[in-house]
Formats: sequence, structure tokens, C-alpha cells
Amino acid sequence: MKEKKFLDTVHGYIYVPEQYCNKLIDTINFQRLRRIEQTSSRSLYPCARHDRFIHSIGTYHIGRKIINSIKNRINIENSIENSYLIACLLHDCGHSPFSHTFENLFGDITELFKIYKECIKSKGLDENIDIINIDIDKTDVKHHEIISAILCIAIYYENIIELGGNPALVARMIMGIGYDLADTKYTDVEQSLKNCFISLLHGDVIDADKIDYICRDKWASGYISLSVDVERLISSIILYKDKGTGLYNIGYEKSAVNEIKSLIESKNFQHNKIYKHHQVIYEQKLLKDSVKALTDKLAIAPNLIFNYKALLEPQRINNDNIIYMPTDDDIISLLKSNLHDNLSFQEWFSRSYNYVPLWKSISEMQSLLSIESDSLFTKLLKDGAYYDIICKKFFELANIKSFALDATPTNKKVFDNQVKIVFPSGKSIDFNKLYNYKNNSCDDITFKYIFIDKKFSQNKDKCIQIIVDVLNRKETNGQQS
Amino acid sequence: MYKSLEFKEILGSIYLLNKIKERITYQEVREISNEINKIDTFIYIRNTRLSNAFLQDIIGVDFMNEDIINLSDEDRQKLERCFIRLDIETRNVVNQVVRNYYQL
Repeated sequence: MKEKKFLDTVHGYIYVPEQYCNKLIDTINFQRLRRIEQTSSRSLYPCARHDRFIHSIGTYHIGRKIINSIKNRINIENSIENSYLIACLLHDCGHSPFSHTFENLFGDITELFKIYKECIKSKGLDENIDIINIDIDKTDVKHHEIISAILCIAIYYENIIELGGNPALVARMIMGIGYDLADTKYTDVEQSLKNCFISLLHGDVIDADKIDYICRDKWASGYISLSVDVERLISSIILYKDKGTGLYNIGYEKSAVNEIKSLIESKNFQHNKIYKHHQVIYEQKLLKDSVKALTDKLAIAPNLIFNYKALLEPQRINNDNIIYMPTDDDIISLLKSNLHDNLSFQEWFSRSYNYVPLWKSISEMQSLLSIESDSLFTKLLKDGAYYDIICKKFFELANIKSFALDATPTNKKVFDNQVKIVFPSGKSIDFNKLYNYKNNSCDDITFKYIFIDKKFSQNKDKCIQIIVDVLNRKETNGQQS
Repeated sequence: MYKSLEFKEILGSIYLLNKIKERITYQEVREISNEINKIDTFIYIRNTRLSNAFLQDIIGVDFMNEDIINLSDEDRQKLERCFIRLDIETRNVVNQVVRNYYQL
């Protein structure tokens, strides 16, 4: 089988069958991903310029390693193997521009799913009859996953079949919708095996997608955090039959326990240090406000711009604009053409921010407030209502405009039965019994950045004094202390 | 995230505005979330199986499959805290919709 080589700075050489390149990668929908940023942290890490294109190829690479590892122990039907690899490659083909920021603008998830159901009906795919009755709101499916599934059926259907895959199964894997094992129409054991592969692309804790983006985001951004031994983690994956039910489950050898821990903690680091960084949070606000201003100015609904149909054929936004294969560039172009004099857009585009955070971390907030008293810091963390009062007082007492945005740390919870560690004896233990990731120690606090007008950034002492007075409740009836 | 919430924040708003609310159904919150989106399409309301699992972890109720009945003060405060974490613009929209929905 002829293969093409991609040189990837994260995984080294990635080998993809030439047929996959011809039928999937070298298509307009897939190539669109070259122009969609992977993360929203580019403002913080200028080198994080990686895109969904290379992430999709990286996910395919991880998926292939997972398949090879599993095949060492059990036989897998070609259709399942091919479907899984194709799903790994196409899992983001319907992604929205600007990562997840505008995903919801594609419309109601129930309506999108109806469109998917119409697609499978039109192809006569009756094996998915259980999907017709699914309440999509009660799953973990995201907008872009449904759109990717729509593209699998509407665009890639024949190609997937020619590559030995099952389009309906590929779509399920992308959306993470497992087979209902209680439905006796299906052979439970076979469907449980498919469910395992669905979970290995769209899992709660560990899957091919996560493994790639955690490694890739870290490499591209340059930040230092725990590293994950991907080879060790993947080689530890076991598909085992439960002795009671005879159904397949996913487990991990005990040698992977530290890598699982590293993966979870890397995800927490990314979530709390990167995506909750004051610069990233503020920039997301500016971008959202800019796009909102754009739709207001053009007097159109957002889903005319963020329109899944534009991934199939050109769509008219208004008299002057057409959108086709929407990418980050298209949104930026619309913003530049229509909002060049809008303050939010100017701020976002120039990165010359008009508001600065009073503190940049919980530690800094603690150090600023603890000069007065240790109890004030705790008081502010415990009662989130104070942030509103503080912003109001800034304006009343010192004419300082401000607002607060949440950055309360949250750690990934791992629930019981999500990750199983399997021992050579055949016994298994829940990962939570080894490392307790059930509790989030930050559940009872509220930490927010308070952004103040940059003009007053030299007046931080005054701001801190106002905060101290508010927390000490020295101000009453508008009198200053 | 700015203009982003889950059902637990909507519940927080309901309890902040009506502390004696005895029963809340999943369907009510679903309808409230639809109304929120009609006012501001840019507010992203994430309602998934996992977010329900996190909610269940907080209040011990599988909200997708059972109603919340007579929640304890401690659990109400947890939900109210979730709501207060939202940015003020989003909170104002949610409060407005909740007030209209329950005629408060």
C-alpha cells in the first residue's frame, strides 16, 4: 500500500495511505482546516499558529498507533479499523472558525441533528434507527461534531465506502454516540467493541483527539508543563471482555497510571493557566463583541455567517457578501471591511488593550489584599458578589470604568468507571481509587480578574484602597472612609 | 468563559431570585435557555451529559432524569455561586428571562 509522508514536529513522520490523501485530505473541506486556528491562545503564545489541519493528521497518527497496539491482542474487523482511522482524520472537518468561540452560532444543536438524520435517511442507512430517537441534548455532542458527521454523509459518503469504512459508524465515532446495548436488535458484543472505538476518539478522559492536542498545544505554545509519554500510554490500552456481561470495555495496564495522571494534569494546566489567562479571556471577549457588532451592523443573524451550508456551497450573507468554506480569514476580512472604526475590533486587531487587569493571578490578588489584612483576600474569594460592588464603587468614587471576568480554577473531575486499570490477573480497579480526581477544591471560591480602564493603571493603589474599604464595609450611604 | 454558561448557572439564577422554589424541572430550564438564546444568540449554553454529571456531583440530582425538589440551603448556595461567576452582561440576561418566565 503506497503511503505519503507528513513531517510533523510533534510526532515525527506520519504515514498516511495515498488513498486516504486522494479521497479525504486533498479535498476542499479538509484543506479548509489549514486556515482554522487550533487554539484561542495565540495572543498569549505567538508561536501557537498550529491549525486544525495538522491536528487532524496528528489525531489520525495517534489513532493508527492505538489500532496497532490493540491488534497485538485481539482481531479487529477491517470495517471497524478503517472507520476509526477515517473518523480520526475527519473528526474536525466541520469545525467553526476561531476554535470553539463561535461554535454555538451554527444554531440549535437539535436542529443541526435533525439535518444529520435527514442525511442518513436520504442514504437509506436504516442501521442507525436508534439514532432517530436519541435526545441529542442528553449527549456530549458539540455543534462542530454534528457538522463533521453531516459532511461524512453528504460529501465523503462514497469515498468512505471505497476506503473500506462505514460512513454511519464514522459519523457515530465523530459524535461520540455509542450503540445502545440494551437494544436487542444489535449483537451486543460486536456493538460493545464499536463503542470502545467510539470512546477512543470521543472519550471522557482519554482519546486520540486529546492525546494529540495536549502534546501539540504544548509544543506549539512553548509552555512548560508535565509531559505525557504517548507511546507508553497507547501501548497500555487493552480491550477486554467483562467476565459478567461478555461485553468489551476499555482498560489500561498499570504501567500507564502515571501517564494517565500526567494527561489529566496537563489538561488541567492548559485549562487553568492558558484558557483562563487574563489576556486570553479578555481577547475572547473582544472578539465576541466584535462579531456581535458585525452582525448588528450588517443587520443579519449570526448563523448567516456561521452557516453549515457554507461548507457545501456558497451562501449569500447579504447583497454584498458571500461566504464559502468559512475560515478565520473570512471572519477577519468581514470585520476589517465593516468594522474598521469599531472600538472592540480595533482593540482586538491592534492588541492595544484599553483595559488592564488589576491582578494577574490569585497569588497576586492575595499579595495585594494581604498587605491590609489576611482575611480580606479570603472574604473576596468566598463571596463573589463583592466583585460587582467593587466595580460599581470604582466608578462612583473615582470615575474608573471596570468589569470583572471569571477565572476560577476548575480541575477535571474523573468520575467512577470512566478509567479502569487492568492487572495481569484480569482484575480491574477504578482509576479514582488510586488518584482521587473527583473533588474540585475550588468549588467554593470565586476568582475573577477585575479589568480597569488603562488610563487609571497608575492608580492601582487607589483601586486597592477602594476594594479594602468595600470588604471592610467602611463605606455606607456614599460616604468614603 | 465570557458569555458561556451551563444549566447549573441558570439554576443558580432561579434560586437567587426565588429562594423558596420547591421544584424545578429539566423542561423549565430548557425553555429558559431557549429564551436566553432568543435575546442574545452569542450566549453559549452548554448542556451535555458531562455537564449534567458535574451538576449531579454538586447537588446529588441527575437533573436530566429527575426534578430538583426542596434543595438544601448548602446546595442552593453552590449553584448561586456558579451563577455569580458569570459576567454581568450574561447574568442580566439570565435574570431577565428567569423573572419573565416565573413572573417574579
